[in-house]
Order: sequence, then C-alpha cells, then structure tokens
Amino acid sequence: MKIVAVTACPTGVAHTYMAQEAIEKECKKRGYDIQVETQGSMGIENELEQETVDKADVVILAVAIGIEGEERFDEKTDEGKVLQIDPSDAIKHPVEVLDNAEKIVETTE
Amino acid sequence: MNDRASDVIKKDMILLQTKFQMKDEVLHALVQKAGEVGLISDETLFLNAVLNREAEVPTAIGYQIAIPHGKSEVVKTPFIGFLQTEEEFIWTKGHEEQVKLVFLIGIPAENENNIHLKFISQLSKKLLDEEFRNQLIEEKNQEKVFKLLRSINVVS
Repeated sequence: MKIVAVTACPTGVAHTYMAQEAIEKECKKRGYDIQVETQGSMGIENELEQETVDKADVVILAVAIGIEGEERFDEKTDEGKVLQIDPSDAIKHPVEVLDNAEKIVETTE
Repeated sequence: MNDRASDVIKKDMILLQTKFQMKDEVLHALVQKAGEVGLISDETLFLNAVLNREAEVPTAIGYQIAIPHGKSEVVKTPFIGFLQTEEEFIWTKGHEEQVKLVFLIGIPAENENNIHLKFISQLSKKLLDEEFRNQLIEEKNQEKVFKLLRSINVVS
C-alpha cells in the first residue's frame, strides 16, 4: 500500500514532527510505502510531488492548520481517499489511524 | 556543532520530583524559571502565549507527557524546560490524559536559528521511544537528566 501524509500544527515544532515519526513508524511496521511531508517551523520538508500524491492509495492529512499546496489533494478528496485527523491522533493512536486509512482503501477500490 | 544545538537545554530548567498536581502550577514554575535564567523578557506575555496554544489543542500527547509551548517575541533564545512530577496528574479537565513529564518549549517569533528548532523536533521524536521515556521518568539526578536530554543528535 502506498500512503502519503502531511503533518502540520500551529507552533510547528513538536506535534508536527512527532506525528510524522508516529505515522512513519506504524507504516514501516505494516510494510507500507510512506512519505510524510511536514509543514512546520522549518518550512516545508519532504515535499510531496503531485505524481507521488496521484499514485498513492490514500492520503492522511494530520493537520491542525491550513496547509500550503492543498490543491494537490483535490482529486483524492473527490475520490474519498483523504483521511483528515488532528496531529495528536497520529501521535496517540497511530494504530487506529492506519486502520482507518486501510478501511478507506478497501472501501474505495 | 552538536553543542550549540543542545544549548536549548539548560540545567537550571530541569526540575525533578516536584510535587505539583496542576497544569497552572507547573507552567507557572517553568515560566518563572525561564524568566530567572534570562530566556524570556516577559513572563506574563510568554505564559499567555503558552496558555493560548493549550487552549487550541491541549498538549498532553499520551505516554504521561505534555509538551506545552509558546512562540513569542519575548523569547530571547529557543529553549526546552523539563519538569517531572512525583505523582501523575490530569493535564486538562475533561480530557483523561495523565501527565508526569512536562517539556516547556519556548520559540522566538523570528525563526533565525534552525539548528535549535531541529534539536527540539528531534527531541520530540525521541519521546516516542519507550526506553528514552522510561529513563526520563525514573532518573532523579539532575546531571544525568541534563546529559540524557543533551545526548540527542541533530541530523541535518
């Protein structure tokens, strides 16, 4: 499974990166392909190319603020393949978040 | 290079085995310390920044840890304060998270020194490591905690 994610949070120093780490760890456990873009105090890191987004099976937006380049995910949103969560959910319940992401892939094939 | 990044951890900002049982007491103690050490130029303004952020989304992230933080022009240099409580307590009324370790993070309004911010984000990620967390909960020696927190590598 190919997953892409964006994490972003108001102050952009802690939650943003912890959410990234939590998502990456859980995906590695499940053997998924994962790329997490962070939009934090250090700017945008690990930026997702449109092509990468298009090829993904599901998108996780663990964001608590508006993000840059939101249009990249328009098509996926229309297809119902975007999971919107709070960064804290990714940190506290990564297993559930990934379970939900999996459900989306299963029900929108 | 490493030394400069980990300068965000100051020994004076490490408060161990405190008896606090309320978020307000904890924040007050840490903010006051930050003022004493000279990390912030206005305690009230900084405390407000921290409380505002808490009001947006409470910063208890599970694992008995809370990471309150404030971004403000009264923060002279980025820093991380660390506080342990002897007994865990509820961070925010209405939310069940219990907290025993509190990291107060201060960020200047202007992000000039990225290496410090990088350190803070590396520390945050390290908190997801169970062994690291356990050491922070158990350790009662200030020098050892100081070394432990500064041991995080900044990978550029």
